[in-house]
Amino acid sequence: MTARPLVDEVLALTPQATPRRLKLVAGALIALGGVGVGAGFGWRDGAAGWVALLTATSLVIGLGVVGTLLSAIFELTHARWGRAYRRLAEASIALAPIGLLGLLVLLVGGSAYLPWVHEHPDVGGKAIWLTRGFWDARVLIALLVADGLALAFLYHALRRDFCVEGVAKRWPGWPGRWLGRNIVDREVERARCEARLQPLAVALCLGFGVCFSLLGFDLIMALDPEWISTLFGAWYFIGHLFAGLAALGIIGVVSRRAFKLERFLSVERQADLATLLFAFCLLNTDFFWSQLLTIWYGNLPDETHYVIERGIDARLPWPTLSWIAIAGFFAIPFVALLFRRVKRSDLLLTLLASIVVASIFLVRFIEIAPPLLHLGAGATLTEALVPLLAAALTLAGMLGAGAWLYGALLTAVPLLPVGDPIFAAEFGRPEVTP
Amino acid sequence: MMRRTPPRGVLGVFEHTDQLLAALRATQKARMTVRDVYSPVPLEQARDFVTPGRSPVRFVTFVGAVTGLVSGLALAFMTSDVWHLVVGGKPVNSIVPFLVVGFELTILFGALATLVALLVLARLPSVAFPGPAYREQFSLDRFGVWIDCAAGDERAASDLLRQAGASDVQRVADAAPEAA
Amino acid sequence: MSSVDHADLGNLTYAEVDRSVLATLGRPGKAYTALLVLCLVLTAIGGVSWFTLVKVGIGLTGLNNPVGWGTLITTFVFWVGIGHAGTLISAILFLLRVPWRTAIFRAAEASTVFAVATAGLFPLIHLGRLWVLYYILPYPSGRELWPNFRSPLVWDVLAITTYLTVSAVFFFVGLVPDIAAVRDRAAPGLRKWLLTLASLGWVGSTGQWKHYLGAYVLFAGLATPLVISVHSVVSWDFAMSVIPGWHTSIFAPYFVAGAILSGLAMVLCILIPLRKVFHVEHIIRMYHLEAMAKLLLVTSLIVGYAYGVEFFVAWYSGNVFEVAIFSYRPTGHYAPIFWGMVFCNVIAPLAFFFKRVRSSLLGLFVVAMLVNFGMWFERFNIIVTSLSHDFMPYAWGTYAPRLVEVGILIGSFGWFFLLFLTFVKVLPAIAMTEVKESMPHPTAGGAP
Repeated sequence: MTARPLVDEVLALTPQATPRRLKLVAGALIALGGVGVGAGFGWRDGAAGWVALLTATSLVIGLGVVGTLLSAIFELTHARWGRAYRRLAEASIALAPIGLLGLLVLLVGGSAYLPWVHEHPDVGGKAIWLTRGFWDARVLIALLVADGLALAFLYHALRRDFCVEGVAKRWPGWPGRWLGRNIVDREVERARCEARLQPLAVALCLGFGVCFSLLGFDLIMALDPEWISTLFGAWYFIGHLFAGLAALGIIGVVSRRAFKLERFLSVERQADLATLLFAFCLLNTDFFWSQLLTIWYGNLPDETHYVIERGIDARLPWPTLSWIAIAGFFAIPFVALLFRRVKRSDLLLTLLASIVVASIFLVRFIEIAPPLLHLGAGATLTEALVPLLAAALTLAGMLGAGAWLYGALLTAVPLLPVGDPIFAAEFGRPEVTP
Repeated sequence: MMRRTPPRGVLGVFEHTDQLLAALRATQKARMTVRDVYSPVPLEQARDFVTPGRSPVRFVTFVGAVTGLVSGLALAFMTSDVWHLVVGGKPVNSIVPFLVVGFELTILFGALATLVALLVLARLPSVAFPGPAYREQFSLDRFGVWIDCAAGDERAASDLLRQAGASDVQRVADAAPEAA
Repeated sequence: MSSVDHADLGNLTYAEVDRSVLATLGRPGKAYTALLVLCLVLTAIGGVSWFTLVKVGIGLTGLNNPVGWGTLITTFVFWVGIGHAGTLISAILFLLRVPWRTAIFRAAEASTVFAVATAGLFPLIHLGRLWVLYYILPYPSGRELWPNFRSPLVWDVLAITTYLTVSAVFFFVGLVPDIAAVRDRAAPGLRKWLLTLASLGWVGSTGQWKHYLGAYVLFAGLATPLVISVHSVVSWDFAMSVIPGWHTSIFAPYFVAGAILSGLAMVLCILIPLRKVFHVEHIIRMYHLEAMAKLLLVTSLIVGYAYGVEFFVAWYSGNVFEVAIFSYRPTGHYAPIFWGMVFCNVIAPLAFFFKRVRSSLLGLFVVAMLVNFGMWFERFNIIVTSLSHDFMPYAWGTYAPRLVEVGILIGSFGWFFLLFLTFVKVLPAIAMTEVKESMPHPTAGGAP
C-alpha cells in the first residue's frame, strides 16, 4: 500500500512538453490570423484592418489579465471550490504579451484610424484628454500597470509552489530555476510569499478595475467623442470577466480530458463554475441594461445616436449583429444555464462558453466598427460581415499565439497550485493504492 | 382523507450521526422499512434512505416565474392600451420600461409559488403535529429513526437500533403524544 | 474541516449553541428596557411629526421649487439601501457557500425586513394625503384609470412591494426550524401555543428537510437578482430624468454598491453591541466582523470608483451643465455634505486595510457609524444638489430641512430599532439551525 503525496501526483500530471495537438491548432489559428489581418487591410480603404486589430486587441488585453485576477479573487475570498482551476486561469497571462504587441501596433498606426485625430474635439476635458502623446502614454501605462500587477501576483503564487519540496528539482532550467532560486528555508519563504499575495491580490483587483476602465474609455468610448456613458469602463471590464470565466470553462473541460484531471476538476466543480458563469451573465446583462434604459428613457440625442446607429436604425447592418450579440450574452446563456444538464455536460458547456466568448467579441466589434467604417444608410450586411470575419480571424490568430505560449507555460510550472494551502487541504488525502 | 392507522414500530434516539447512518444501513440490509428520520439539521445521506430524489419545488417556481413575467408584461401593455396616451414622449406600448415591470413580477410570483409549493409538498402547516414519533430533543441535538414494523418484529428492530448505538429505543405506539 | 476556515465552530456542541441563543430570549435587562423606551420615544417623535404633517400639509416641510425632493426621499433611499446587506448575506453568500454567514445572517435578514418596512412608510409620508396611495396601485377602476407603467415611480411600487414580500417570506421560511427549537424548549402555555402555530408544526423529518432545502436555494436564487434590481429601480427614479448629476448610466450599480455598503455598516453597528449584550461572542466571532469589514471595504472602493468616474466623465464631456453640477457639489452651498460624504464613505473605510482596525471593536464601530452618516449624506448630496442647481440659473434655489422632517428622520430610526429590539426578544437573533449545520456533525467515531 503506498500513499502518493499530492506533489508527486501533480508533477506526474504536469505535461513534459506542449501537447502536439495544441501546437498544430495554435499554428493553424496563427495562420488564419494572418489571413484575417491581410483581408482586413485589403478590404476597401483598409479601415477594416484597424477594426479587426482594435477589436481583437481590446478583448485579448483583458483576457491576458483576467485569469490571474480570478486567481487573485480566490486568494482573497478563501473560496474552496475551484482551487484546481487556478493555474489554468493564471496561465492565460500568455495572452498578455500578444495583447501588448497588438496595442503597440495600434499606437503606432493611431493616426490612420482614430476619429478624433483628424476631427479633434475642442470642447471640454476631451480636448486635452484626447491628444496623441497623452493618449498613447496613458493607454500604454494603463496596460503595463495591469500586466505588471498580474505578473507580480503570479510570481509570488508560482514561487509559493516552488517552495514545496520536490517541485524545484523538476525544472532545473528557466523559468523554474529563477522561480525556485535562493530558497533557504521553505516554510519561511512560503509564508513570505503568502503574506505578499494578499496585498498584491488587492492591488491587482483595484488596478484591473481602474486600468481597464481607462482602457475602455480611451480605446473604445473615445472613438465617438460626442458620446459618453459613465458605466462604460465597468461594462468593458465586466465583459472581460464574463468572457474569461467562459474561456476558463472551456479550458477546464479540455484540460480534464487532456491531462487526466478528473480527481481535481470534477463534474461538480465544473457545475460550480457554470453557476458562477450564470451570475456573471446576469451582471453583464445588468450593466448593458443600465446603459440602454438610461439612454432610451432620457432620449437625449447626444446619447441616443450611439444606440440608434447600433441597435435600431434598420438601414444599417449593425442592429442585426446587436440582436445576435444580445442572444449570445444573455438569452442563450440565461436559459441554458438554468439546467443542471448543461452545467454538467462537457459538450454543452463548451458550446455555451464559446457562444459567450463570441458574443463578447461581437459586442466589442459593434462598439468599434461603426465610427471606423462609416457605413452609410442602405449598407448591406456583407459590408459589415467582411470586417467582422477579418476581426474574428485576427482574434483567432492572437488566441492561437496565446495558446502556444499557454501550452509552453503549463509545462514550465506545476499544473495545479500545490503551494496553495486550501488546495492542498482539499486534495491532500493520500491515495491508497494496493 | 388520511386513513387513521394506529402508529406502530419503534423509534431509536441517537446522539451521533455516524451511528444513525449505521442504523439506517443496517435496516436496509435487514429489509426493514424506515418510516422517517428526524434531525435538527438536514442530513443528506439519511434523506436518501427515506425519500430519495430531488424536490420538485423548482418546477413550480419556474411556472410561477413565467406566469409572473407574462402577467407583468400583460398588465403593462394592456393597461397602456386602455387610453392609448403618449406620456412623457414615450411610445404607448414601450417594451423597454415594461420589461422592468415584467421582471419584478417574475420574482414576486416565482417566490410566492415557491412558498406555496414548499408548504404543500412538506405538508405544512402540519395538522398531525407532533405525530407519534416526534420527540422535542429532535430540534436540539438528538436524531430519531422511526422503523415501521409489526408488533412481532419490534424486538428485532429494537435490537438492531441498540446495536447501532441508539441511546434510547421506544415503542412508537406506547409513547404518549407530546402536548400540542 | 479545513484548518484555514477560521469560522470553524467545531469546538461548540449543538446544545451549547441552543443554550446560548435561547438565553437571548430571556427576561430583558435594564439596558434593553432603557433602549426600548428610547426607541418608543423616538418613534413617538416621528409619529407626532407625521401627524402634524398630515394635518397641516406638505408645505410644513422645506420642500418647494426647485427642490421638491429632500430629506424624506433621502431617508427613503437610505432605508431601502440598508435592507440590502441582509439579502446579500443571507442569499448571495448562501449561493457562494461562504461559511461565515451562518452566525450573522439572521440579524442581517431581520434588519432587511425592518429597514424595507421603514422605507415603505416614506412614499406614504411624502404623499402628504396618504389616503390617496391607492392612486398608484394597479386595480380596475370605474373610469379605467391605471398607473403609468412607464414611470420609474410605479416600478418602485412594484420593486419595493416585491422586495418586502420576498424578504419577509425568505426570512420567515428560514426561521421555521429555529421557531420549532424555541417551541420545544418553551414551557407549556400561550407562548408555546403561539410558537407551535408559527413553526407550522415543523418536526425536521426528511421530507420536510428535502423540500425546505430545495425551496431555500430557490428563494436565494430569486432574492439575488431581486436585491440588485430593487436598488437599481430606486436609482432609476433619478437616472430616468435628464437633469445633470442624475442622468447617468452608472447609477444602477453605483446605488447597489452603496446600498450594500450602508447595509453592512448598519449590520456591523447592530452586531457589535448585540453580541456583547447577549454574551454570544463565541458564536458571532471577530472573524465574522472582520469578514464584514472586508466586504464593506470592497463596496466602499466601488463607491469611490463611481464618484471618480462621475467627475471624470463630466469633465471629459465638456457639457456645461454636467461641469456646473460637479463644480457645485464640492464648492457650493452643500459642500460640507459633499465632503462629509467623501470622508465617511471613501476615506474612513480605507482604515479597514489595516488588520489592527479590522480586529478592533471600536475601530469597526466607528468606521461603520461614519459610513452610516456618509451614506445618508450621499443620498442628500445626489438628490438635493441636482435639484437645487439644474439647467436654468434663475431657477436655482436651496433647501433646508424643517423640524417636521428632522422629527420624521429621527422617528424612522426609532421605528427601525423598535422593530429590531422586539424581534431579538421574541425570536432567535442567531440562526441556530444553520450554525449547527455549519459545524461538524456530532459523531461517536471522532471524524465527521
